[in-house]
Amino acid sequence: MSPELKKMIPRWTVFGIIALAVTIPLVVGGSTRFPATPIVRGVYEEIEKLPEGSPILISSDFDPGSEAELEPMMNAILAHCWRRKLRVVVMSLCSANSMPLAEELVKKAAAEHKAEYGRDYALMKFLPGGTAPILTLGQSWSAILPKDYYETPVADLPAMKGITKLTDFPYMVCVASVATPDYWILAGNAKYGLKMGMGCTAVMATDYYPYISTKQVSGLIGGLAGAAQYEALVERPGLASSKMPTQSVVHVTLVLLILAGNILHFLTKKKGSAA
Amino acid sequence: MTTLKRTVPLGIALVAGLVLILQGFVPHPVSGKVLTWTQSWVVIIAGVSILLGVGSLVQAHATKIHRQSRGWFYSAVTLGTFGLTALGFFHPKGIEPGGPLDWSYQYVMNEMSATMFSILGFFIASAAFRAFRARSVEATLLLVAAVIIMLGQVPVGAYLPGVPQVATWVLEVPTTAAKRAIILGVALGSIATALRIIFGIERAYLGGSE
Amino acid sequence: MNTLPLTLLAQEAAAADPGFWGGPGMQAFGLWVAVGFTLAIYTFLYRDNPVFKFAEHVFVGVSNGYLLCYTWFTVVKPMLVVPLWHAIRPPADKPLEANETLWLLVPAFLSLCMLMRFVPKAAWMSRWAFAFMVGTTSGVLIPLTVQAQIYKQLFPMLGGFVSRGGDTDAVLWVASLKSLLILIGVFAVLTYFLFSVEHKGPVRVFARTGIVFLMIAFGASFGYTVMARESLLIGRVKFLITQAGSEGKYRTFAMMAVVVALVAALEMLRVRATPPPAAEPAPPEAK
Repeated sequence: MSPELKKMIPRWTVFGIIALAVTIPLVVGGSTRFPATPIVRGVYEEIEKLPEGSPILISSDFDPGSEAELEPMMNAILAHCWRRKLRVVVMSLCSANSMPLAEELVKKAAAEHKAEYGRDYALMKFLPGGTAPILTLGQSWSAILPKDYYETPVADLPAMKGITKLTDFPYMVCVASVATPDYWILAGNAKYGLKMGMGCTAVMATDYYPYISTKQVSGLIGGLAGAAQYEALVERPGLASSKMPTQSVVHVTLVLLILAGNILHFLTKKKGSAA
Repeated sequence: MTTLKRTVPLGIALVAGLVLILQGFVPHPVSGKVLTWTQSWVVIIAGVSILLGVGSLVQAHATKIHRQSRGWFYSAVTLGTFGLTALGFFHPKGIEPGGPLDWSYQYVMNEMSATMFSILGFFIASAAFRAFRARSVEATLLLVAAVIIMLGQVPVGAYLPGVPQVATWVLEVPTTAAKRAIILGVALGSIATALRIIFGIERAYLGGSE
Repeated sequence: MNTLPLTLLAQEAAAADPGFWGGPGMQAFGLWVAVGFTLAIYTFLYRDNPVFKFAEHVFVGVSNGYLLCYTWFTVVKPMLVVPLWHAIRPPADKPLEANETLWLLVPAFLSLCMLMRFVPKAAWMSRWAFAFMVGTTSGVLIPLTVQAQIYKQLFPMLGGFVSRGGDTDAVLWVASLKSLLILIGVFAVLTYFLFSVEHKGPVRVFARTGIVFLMIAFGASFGYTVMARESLLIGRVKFLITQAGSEGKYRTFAMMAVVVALVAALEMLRVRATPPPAAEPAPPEAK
């Protein structure tokens, strides 16, 4: 056996174990309910407080690379908003391919909840420039978004009734796979006092914990686990809840792999020092 | 010429920076208008800069093909698929559903983007198995915290007494403290960098040596 | 005139007639392509190979082609070209929008300056656009950062860590202890990063405490990162499973056979083309 092949075998073995740990539970199926933590509840409770017919802004700042993680979260938030009969306005600061994805997800959810475009929800265009679009929208909505995603003037959309600037939204949720929550915290919350909650990929979640205790962010939905908790709160077990058993199996497998790696390491070390 | 190449951009950065710092302290409608204008211009220029990025990529691959550098065949693949996709610009539906651009987005870009990121699921497992060792006190702390979070964030953790509670504590206390310190450090650093840019000490954005 | 009904009608018409690219034929073909490219990318798990490289470069090409068109249709055209044109030649049938002003000549000029990057002799003009971007962003960010990331992060913490609550306004010991620990942690981590003071004596102890906080935080981040990456993997495997059964026309298995055959064939060619390793030189004799 060549030395190169010898080096690759442990790696391929780990890949094989992970592939099995993901595939088998998915084929078996099942769903798990997951009780919500107070941090996830922070977003839910703010949306619950909004009176019927209030507008809510969702910044859909993720692209297909994080769809598997954030689609369930977006679905659960949209389901909650429409159950509360809120007017949902969706925009994006992330990248050119984030708004087409948002359009696809929102339309799919809207069909399920019988939400009508223009009345129950509206889609805006992708805006590049980090904090710049937020700062502009805080002064005047029509300065950069006089028309929606389909080139309809926002004045013609009942969902946008009464919205002339960012602060006309009593609450916003940023669902992100990139650093856009930073922009919203800096420009939306600090500059204009916009009340906000956020959902993000698990990779980013720990970075935003400091903003929760200072109440700059009302709550945080972190990754697929956070989405499953939100699904439990809105009592609509969906994509996230169905993936949770698989996620559990993979995490346990990984913990066992780490343990095995350590045991092997210490055994080899012991052998080496004995020799 | 040096004035146009060096002094004018430094002057633009100085004036733009100072005006926008002052703007934040002037509660007057004109000040609000200045913010609206400048920031909406930033949005437009940021949009155009995306085209600059695309152009640079095309230029880099075209040069590679022209010079027949190593891997030029793959550059040809990139430029070929770029050209084919960009042809969708002339389709009457543009980027709307039902056009070729939407098709390539749905079935090529969307799917491949998701797969590219998902492949890390395998590599993170391999790295954890081969490198995550309790070699020292610090490394053990890192390992234990990671294991607690991994188990405490999934439903299986509920069956392990105390794990979800410890996971919550880890996130709410040490993680919050460390991340807050990092936020403070980064904030001070970014303010210092911003001041250096405004006053022309930091000139990396000017590019070349001239 | 309210144009929303027209938008809704256009959407309905598009849904009723998906056209060639949105039709069932292209949808089915799209799924074959999606499964094929997904598996092609996974071949990287074996090793870096031409099939993966091909898929990777297709991804870059298609993404950038799409990005070019999308940016034109949703940013440059509606935010710059059309409003500027309307500002120069106002349309007779409708009033001007809020963003349709001649002030747009400024970003139009700066955008042109930026694109001058492609003209070697005039590339220096792009500096004006960059200067405007970094200047305005720096100016805006200074007060915002002070407020959001220094004032709001630091002062509530320094304002007192004793929490009180309930009807009797009693001290909440657990919450207070948590706040105290956070306060200690923040200053310990900052001390660790303070390089202008030598780390010895009490400073060393405090800096070491900072490392403990940092390590736990990095461990937590790693735990969450694992969750993120595995979630994405679960998403893709779920897609492949849906395409593996009769409903998915066994696309996963069919494309797997094609991709594996391709990788194997190319691998055989590579092995044949690689010259055998030269015999190891004899060790130098001891003098």
